[in-house]
Amino acid sequence: MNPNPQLNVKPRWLPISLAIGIMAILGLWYVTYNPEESWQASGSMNFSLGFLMLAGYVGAILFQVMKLPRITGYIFAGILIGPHALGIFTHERIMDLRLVDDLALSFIALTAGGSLELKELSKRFAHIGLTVLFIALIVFCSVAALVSLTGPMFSFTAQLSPREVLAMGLLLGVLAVAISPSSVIAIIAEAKAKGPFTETALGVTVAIDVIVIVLFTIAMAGARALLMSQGADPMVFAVLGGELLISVLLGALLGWGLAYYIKKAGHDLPLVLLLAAFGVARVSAFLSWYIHENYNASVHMEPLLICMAAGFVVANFSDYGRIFVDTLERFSLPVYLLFFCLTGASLDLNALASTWPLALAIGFMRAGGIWMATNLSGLITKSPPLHRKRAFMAFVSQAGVAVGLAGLAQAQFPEIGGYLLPVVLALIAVNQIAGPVLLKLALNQVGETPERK
Amino acid sequence: MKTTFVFLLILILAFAGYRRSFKSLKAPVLAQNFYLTGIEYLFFGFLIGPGFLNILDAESQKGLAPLCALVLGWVGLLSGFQFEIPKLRRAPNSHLGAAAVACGLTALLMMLGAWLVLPRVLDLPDAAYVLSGVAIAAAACNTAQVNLALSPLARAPRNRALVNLIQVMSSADGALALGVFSAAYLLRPDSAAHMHFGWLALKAVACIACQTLLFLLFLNRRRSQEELTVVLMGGVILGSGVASMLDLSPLVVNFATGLLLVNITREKERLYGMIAALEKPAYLVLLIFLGSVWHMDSFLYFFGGLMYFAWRILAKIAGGVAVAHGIPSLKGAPSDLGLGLLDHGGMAMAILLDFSMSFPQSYAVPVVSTILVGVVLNELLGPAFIQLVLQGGGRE
Repeated sequence: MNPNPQLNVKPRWLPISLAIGIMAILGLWYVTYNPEESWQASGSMNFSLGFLMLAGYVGAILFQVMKLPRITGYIFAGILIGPHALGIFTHERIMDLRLVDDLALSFIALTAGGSLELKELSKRFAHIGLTVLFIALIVFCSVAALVSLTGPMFSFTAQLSPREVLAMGLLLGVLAVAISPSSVIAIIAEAKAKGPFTETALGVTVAIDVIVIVLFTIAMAGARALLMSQGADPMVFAVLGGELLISVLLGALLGWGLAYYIKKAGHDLPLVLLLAAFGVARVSAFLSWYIHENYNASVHMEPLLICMAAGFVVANFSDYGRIFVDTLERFSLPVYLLFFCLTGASLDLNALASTWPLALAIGFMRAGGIWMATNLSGLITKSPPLHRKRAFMAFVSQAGVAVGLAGLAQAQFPEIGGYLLPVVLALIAVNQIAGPVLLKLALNQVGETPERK
Repeated sequence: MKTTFVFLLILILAFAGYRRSFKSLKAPVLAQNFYLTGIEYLFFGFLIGPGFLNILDAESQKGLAPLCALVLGWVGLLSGFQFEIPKLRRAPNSHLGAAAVACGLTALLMMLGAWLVLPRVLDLPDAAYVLSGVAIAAAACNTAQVNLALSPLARAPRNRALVNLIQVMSSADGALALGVFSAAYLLRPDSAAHMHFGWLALKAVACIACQTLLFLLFLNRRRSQEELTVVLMGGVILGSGVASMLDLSPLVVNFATGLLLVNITREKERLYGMIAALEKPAYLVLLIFLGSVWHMDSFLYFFGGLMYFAWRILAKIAGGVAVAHGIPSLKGAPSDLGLGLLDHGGMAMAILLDFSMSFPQSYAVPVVSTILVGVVLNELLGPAFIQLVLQGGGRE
């Protein structure tokens, strides 16, 4: 269960400083290097990947000493060597490693599903349901209102028409509801947290991941009505419901298959899980493409939902949940390291620089909305005061889902997309840095990490 | 998308093959040698490579460069780890000397043969013949012990001394083969044009020192298995990258780092355990990558392979004769000792992959394609040769 037995051991500073020194020299040499031959170009690619892994590892050690989450260390290492800072990892290289993103997200979703315990969830069903409902309502309304009312005051969005500002408010409102399941799961796994607060945080995160897709579809319909004067098509919601249902069913089937494999063979499970993760990501994309090409219909399977459902089925409806989760945890370090380093390298600091006043305003409004929502649900369900006060800290982080949805909106509404995407990227840069730190702090303060129990 | 697919295909082939070949082997006795050396993976590589199905095409190869660098570095590091000085001291000096004599003579003869034949069959710049000859010599002089391990005669008490001699020779000649291969980097025209030997040596020392230091600094305290994985993988990929960028061999650099680490670090047992655990899958991935370089579109490669096979046997026999008659303390060794050293070792495969990655394809592909034909012939006929040597082992 414990993949990092010496996590709390203080590092020896001299060796770490020397390692950083050597890496700094290598990094400086690399940025002045210009490959001429094909093997030098391959070498330069290998250099940047190896450097990323070691830099992420050093970042994690340093942040751990500061009692901050390791994943924040990975993210900062990614930012440092990414295209906006040292440039060791370029945009092209990030694109080359998109494969890591797909695989890691599916791995993380499998872990999330495997970490959800039906027995515990059913006890907290009302609390989770109310928290999701309030976050969706309050965060959406507050952010949408903020953008719609103050949009014309920010220089970045001053030139938009009132209808465009309203559409942007709708979309940003929904995107603000999104939480980063990968960050929440990674922090919980890293802190080895267990307890009611952790279960609720996981449950809410997973549920919001589904809800946000529904809300986004509604917001897109609203934005379409505002910008193109088109009414909403009720079939859209039927299709969406069908997609979610099919995704859950496919996930359950996959989970059953994985449990059967563990029972009958069991060897090389990491490889099988890797295949499952890859298969889900790619087959979902292929099915969506196939249905679109052959039936002219737009149906999207949700890879994350499929993997979560699969993990949930293995953990709760078979005897192999422990083996399953342990195997995933054994590979969590390299997977999280690569994934979050790449996340850091992908963070758009230029967008943050150009839109920071609006992004900061939305960030504060979002955090306030989450605080209000979690307090309200805590009061109604009579959760412990400390849990109620700290609950908002669990839901600040944001990442890939919001970017993906913003990209879809940009493609659909190019007239506001150029404004929407930079704001979302800036918001994510803020939340992805602050979110993991806040969650780890909250888990420590409510006493659900091993060191505080 | 395609790169991802190929990546997973290679991993599945490697892990499934590892289980099939090394864990639950039920192959017929005659095919065991073939399976245990993993030679079938060269064919898998050929099948998915540009020479046949083109699944592992140039684009995928570019995308999978880090995986290729990782397995190459991994094999280099592991080979370096096998040269722990206290353990080497236990081997008799005469045996180590025999390895040097046999390996040196084989390399020399192979190089001469290549330099004589290559200009007559390939139209290349002069430097390419030299480099190809060096690569052929380096691959040819390395040996493995699979045939020996599979032969029941190797367990006969009368063969104990001979088996011990062959084991030491085939363990030590990996380092010597790498030494020969390093010459190819020294003689590469771009290296020779831009720098002299001293500068290249300085770069090599700096690269090896950096990689070793990073490992030592990261491993200065006991790390968990997962952290070791990250540090090792990151360090090997980084080291291979730096080596390629500096026009050095990733294989040689990682070998040297492994050699230094095993003789310096206190964590060597854990590190070795970690590296060795992935040895076979890494080796199979290496064979798949090497197989993808293989082309069979010319009869020249086939005939070249036959010539390579025959000439190597002669060179090995010459090496064996030199050992048996040239080293006084080994006077009793059989004169056909060289026939017991025909197996191509994993290091030979790694040398060929390194050669194909770091040298122009115009001559790397013919060289690799030719030698691989020889390798396959060798795996088919090698067991018969070792039987010959061991049957006469009692003469000692």
